[in-house]
Amino acid sequence: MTSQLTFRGRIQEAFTAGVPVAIETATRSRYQRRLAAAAAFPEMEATRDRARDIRSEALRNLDAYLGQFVDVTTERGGVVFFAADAAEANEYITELANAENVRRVVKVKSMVTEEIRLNTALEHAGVEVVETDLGEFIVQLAGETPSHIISPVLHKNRYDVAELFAAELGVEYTDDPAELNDIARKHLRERFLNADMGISGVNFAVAEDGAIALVTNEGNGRLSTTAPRVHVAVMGMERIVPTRADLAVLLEVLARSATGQKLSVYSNIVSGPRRAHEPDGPDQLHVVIVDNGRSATLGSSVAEILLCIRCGACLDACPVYRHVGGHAYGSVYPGPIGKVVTPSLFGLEEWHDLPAASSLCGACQDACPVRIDIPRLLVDLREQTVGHASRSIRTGLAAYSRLATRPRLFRLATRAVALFGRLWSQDGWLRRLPFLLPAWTRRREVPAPATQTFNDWWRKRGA
Amino acid sequence: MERDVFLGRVQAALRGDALPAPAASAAVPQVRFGDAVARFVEEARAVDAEVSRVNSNTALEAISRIFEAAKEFRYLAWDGLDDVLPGLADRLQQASYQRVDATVATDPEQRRADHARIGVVPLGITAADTAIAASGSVVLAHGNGRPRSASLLVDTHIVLLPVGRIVHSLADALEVVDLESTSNVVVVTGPSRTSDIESALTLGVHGPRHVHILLIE
Repeated sequence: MTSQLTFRGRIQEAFTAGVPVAIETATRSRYQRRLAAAAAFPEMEATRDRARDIRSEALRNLDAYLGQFVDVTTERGGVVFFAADAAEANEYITELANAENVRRVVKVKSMVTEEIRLNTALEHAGVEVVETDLGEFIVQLAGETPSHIISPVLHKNRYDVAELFAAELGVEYTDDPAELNDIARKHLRERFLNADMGISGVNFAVAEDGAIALVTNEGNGRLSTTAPRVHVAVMGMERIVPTRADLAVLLEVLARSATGQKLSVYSNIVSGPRRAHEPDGPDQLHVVIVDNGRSATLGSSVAEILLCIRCGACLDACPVYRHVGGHAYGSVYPGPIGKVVTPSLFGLEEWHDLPAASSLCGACQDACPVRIDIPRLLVDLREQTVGHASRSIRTGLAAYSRLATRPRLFRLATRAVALFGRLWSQDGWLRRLPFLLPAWTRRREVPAPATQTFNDWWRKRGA
Repeated sequence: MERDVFLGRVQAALRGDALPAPAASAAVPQVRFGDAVARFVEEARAVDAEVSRVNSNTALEAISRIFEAAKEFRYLAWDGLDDVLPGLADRLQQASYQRVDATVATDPEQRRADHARIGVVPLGITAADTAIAASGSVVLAHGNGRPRSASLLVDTHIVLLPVGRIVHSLADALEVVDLESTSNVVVVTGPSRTSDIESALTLGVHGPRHVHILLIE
């Protein structure tokens, strides 16, 4: 799952590439739009409370709701497959594609299919896969990966897209977003109408209705689940909500949190394949329910992360994400939510450095529509990662703990640090630190230590 | 993996009781507008739908104008639109407009041919089952005689909406939807849109660029 570079290396790369400016602008504007949308909706806070309760109720009885969903879907003509992991899901879908003589698949952007690397598996099996979300289509043409949960090409500007389209699609160069859109519309329309299989994710699965809800603004979600003969919906097993009334709450919360809209343009509710006498729609519906590490998360101390509805609000709110962009995280799940999802699904050993990339400022928790306590989860993961830390960090921490448990030595040390700090500072700021510490001041300035330590101040105050 | 084994793993994980308990939040307050119709019109226009308030006579005029502006004679449509707007079928026939059959076959080759035929039709007419004042959305339940393509493949989607079908909220609209006899219900809020390229808003990505709502009083 990791790229060749270390986390630090990927951050370096993001800075060098000049990516952050575009991301900073886009995330800030969407963050503002979201705040405005929330301010214009007096019931937002009550709705968030309700949404959180719906998600936790669904998860606390996940086995029962999943069973109910599967029973009703099957009654309506859907075929359900339970996939323990990525390999099982990919094997089922590629075998189905082969059995149905599928040559081309049109795909709706979906995090879980990115997670299981479904496109790679299908392409190995000789099936052409076309991403149909405009942003995801651009990412695919460029041979890259998405950098944001809901805006996959946040890292590209119009000129990048213009050059890409001219080179890859053989069209005349234009950097007008409307014209670029038209080019993609024309190109993809032909793909939709000649695809044998449509693959989507699932935003929410409604247990009582055996229905899946799929939200898009562009309409590619509807086209991919209408035109091809076979529709395969891949869902993380935690996507369940109990009732249709719950769905109404969550669709509103998702739209408001993702983009500040009251509802997305298309809230598409699918319940089984087309019935006899229906003029259009797929003849087969397959729902692939994916575990892939989720049941382990469900029983762990970070189970709360499964409440996530994948709106991307925490990414836009996060000062770290705003500075490094999505690619730096090295995982399909970037940002605050990714710092918990990635290690919990793919293993803390490999991903132990992600939970560290946070100042625990709590902006993510404020932004989260279902109020996930992401800072608490990050601290929890950090506690678990101590064993994985490098020798220098462990030695440093051990030294600090010896120092901090000896009051006289600690006082002496803080005075020494304060003195050296002041000597090194200019106009009250440290701009360049010596010895092992230059990384601290490479991209920021640190205030010079105060002239007296807290302890000294406290003692004087008491006297 | 077998269902029982899969769900067994979930059950085992749940025994750890690691999830936050629900806080027993109150139900979300019901949205109720003083004038739901006015609110609907305002919200629909805010998401770039075009809304015309018409009666059953001026509705036919409005439809003709849309056809003339589009310089088109082919259209996709749902069955039974005459129940919503009496005289519509006659009127369209008199003007020599051609309704294209939107039925798509199961057979792969025939399906491609059907798509080639249907995919070029630029106008579609449907009738909303309900509409949502809070968001300016229309709700379309597909099914027998109600092709999805009429609101999906076309450039311009014309929606007939009798004023009495407007409800206040999404919750109200979903409550009356029947998911047993139909495979697909869609809530449409304005024309297809994206902001993927530099956050610049563009209409008509994959779905219709224009959504005309004829609000029939």
